Amino acid sequence: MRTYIIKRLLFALPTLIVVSFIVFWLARLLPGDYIDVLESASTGDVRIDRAMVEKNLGLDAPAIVQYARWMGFAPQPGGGFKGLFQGNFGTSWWRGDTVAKMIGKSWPITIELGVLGLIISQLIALPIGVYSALRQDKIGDYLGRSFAILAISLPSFWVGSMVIIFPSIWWGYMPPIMHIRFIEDPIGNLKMFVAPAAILGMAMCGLTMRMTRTMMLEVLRQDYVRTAWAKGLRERVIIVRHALKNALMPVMTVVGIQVPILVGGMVIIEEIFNLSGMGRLTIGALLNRDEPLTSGLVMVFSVALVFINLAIDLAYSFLDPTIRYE
Amino acid sequence: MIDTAMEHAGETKKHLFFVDILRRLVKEKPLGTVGGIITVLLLLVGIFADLISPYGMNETDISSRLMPPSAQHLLGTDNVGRDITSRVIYGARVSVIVGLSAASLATVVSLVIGMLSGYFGGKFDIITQRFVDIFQCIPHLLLLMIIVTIIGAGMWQIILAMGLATGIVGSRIIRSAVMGVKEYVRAAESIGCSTARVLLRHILPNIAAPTIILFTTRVPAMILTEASLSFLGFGIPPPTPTWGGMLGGSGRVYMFHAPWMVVWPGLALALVIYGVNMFGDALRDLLDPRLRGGAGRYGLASQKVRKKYREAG
Repeated sequence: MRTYIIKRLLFALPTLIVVSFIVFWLARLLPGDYIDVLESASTGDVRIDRAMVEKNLGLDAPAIVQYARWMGFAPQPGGGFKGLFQGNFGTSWWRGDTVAKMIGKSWPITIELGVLGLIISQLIALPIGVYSALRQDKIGDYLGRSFAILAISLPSFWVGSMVIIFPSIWWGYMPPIMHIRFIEDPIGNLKMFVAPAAILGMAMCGLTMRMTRTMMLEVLRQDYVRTAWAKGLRERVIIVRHALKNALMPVMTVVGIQVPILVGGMVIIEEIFNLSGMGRLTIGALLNRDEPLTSGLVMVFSVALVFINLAIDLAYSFLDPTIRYE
Repeated sequence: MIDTAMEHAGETKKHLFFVDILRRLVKEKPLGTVGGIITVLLLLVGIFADLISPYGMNETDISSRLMPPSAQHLLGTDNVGRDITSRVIYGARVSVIVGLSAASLATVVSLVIGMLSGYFGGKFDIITQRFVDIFQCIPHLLLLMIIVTIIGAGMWQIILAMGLATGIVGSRIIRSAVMGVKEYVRAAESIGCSTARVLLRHILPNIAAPTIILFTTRVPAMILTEASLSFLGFGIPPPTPTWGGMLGGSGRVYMFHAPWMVVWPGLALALVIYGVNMFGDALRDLLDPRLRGGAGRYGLASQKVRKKYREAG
């Protein structure tokens, strides 16, 4: 098991290096550069000496050297290694803060939204999926399946807008705009996240629900389930311990596949509900053509995806003891 | 004598492939038929938008700004006095163009990469698949937002970006389908067919079903992605009416005063995605019964899941 984890981590490293290369180039291709930003920021008749600034910032170096500096493989023009490997993402052009500080401020919101969204989506999907499978081709099944299709079809940014508009028109209720920290006011914090997370969970639950139903149908026809019935076990025990536990594996994989989709959904939800998480920060970074911030954010998302996938693969071996990773 | 009679009997039962599919769709899949009707309606509305819409798509009438739905403006007007009905109708055209072109491009890209990767195998396959892996590490929507920022916002830029990015990821499905028809390939190679002939005459027809399914599942996904991008301001720029764009931008500014500005385009979007999804699901069941099981437009993903599950187990 330990060797497997080490092997996976070693395999992830070259992937992430290529990703970093692509991300660095994509960010560089964004229109405009730092000197344009400086020029548009300066109000007076301050003329910016392009060559001078470029030399000071090391922008005159070949692109590959700049990439190496960004990664922390090559020394900065001022001396010293300050790159991703040293945990340094550079300084944002747009706000002037370090990228690490800006990400540090916004990631708790994104993580909380994502985790709550995933939990809510499972809480909706699993019971309905199981119920649908138990009542196959009966009215309950049709209702469950229709709900799944509805959840897939409704665009989350529309549902989000409706949730903001109509309570405000009918009852004068607005979701809180100010960020409430969990440590200070746990209830207020959860209140702030409940609507966005529910919409995120709703957008994702359709797929999980259908997968749960399919896998439950398959598992319920297995011999060991029949044996369990024949032994006279209680229905709840059969469904939860014998059937659901075995059906859960592929469902988990679906959750893994959904994580990249989840990131896209979070960008939209954060934008609608004015949550200043990493998704909204990415929109701001792109609109302001902020290269260091964009590349830093996308790198963080990509590293997170790689590790989440690894974690899901490892979770299999806990759910299914027959899987042994060598 | 008997032989010819049998042949004849076989012939009378045989319909054109698509006619047969259509008959079975109507007979066996009521929801799929509804989805098909919605899909056809979307196509018609998109094509004949000029004839149906009561006003021009950017025809402004300053005297009737932010008007609620009335007899004159069935779905109301927006902040510059444009008729929402007309803009929703013209938005259908954008959705049709984007959905079909981006899904076609994605399918072609998937076919090229997947067929070459699956057919040649070996080192080429390994390198291509690592490349696809790397692509999957970058969140899809973020990647599209970056590409659009680089190449500029516009309908064709969006189609290009979505088609390429989705096509690369989707090549996995084509690749595994190609792997599944290896016997035919070996037979064709053994009688001396050229590589091009093997690819086009032996592999392509045999992977037609997964290809069609891939295309039909991509269409609603592309429509939704375009709407998301336009909503976030990374899509087709105004004043072109798009459903996503109508929900974002000025729609978000005025949505409390004029909720009809955002209600209708979103409903149209939801209806179309529902319809095309149902139609695609039904088509998938009819074309490839092995994929049945209600995994929906993610049926292809579930296939991948099973493969992964098998590999792991």
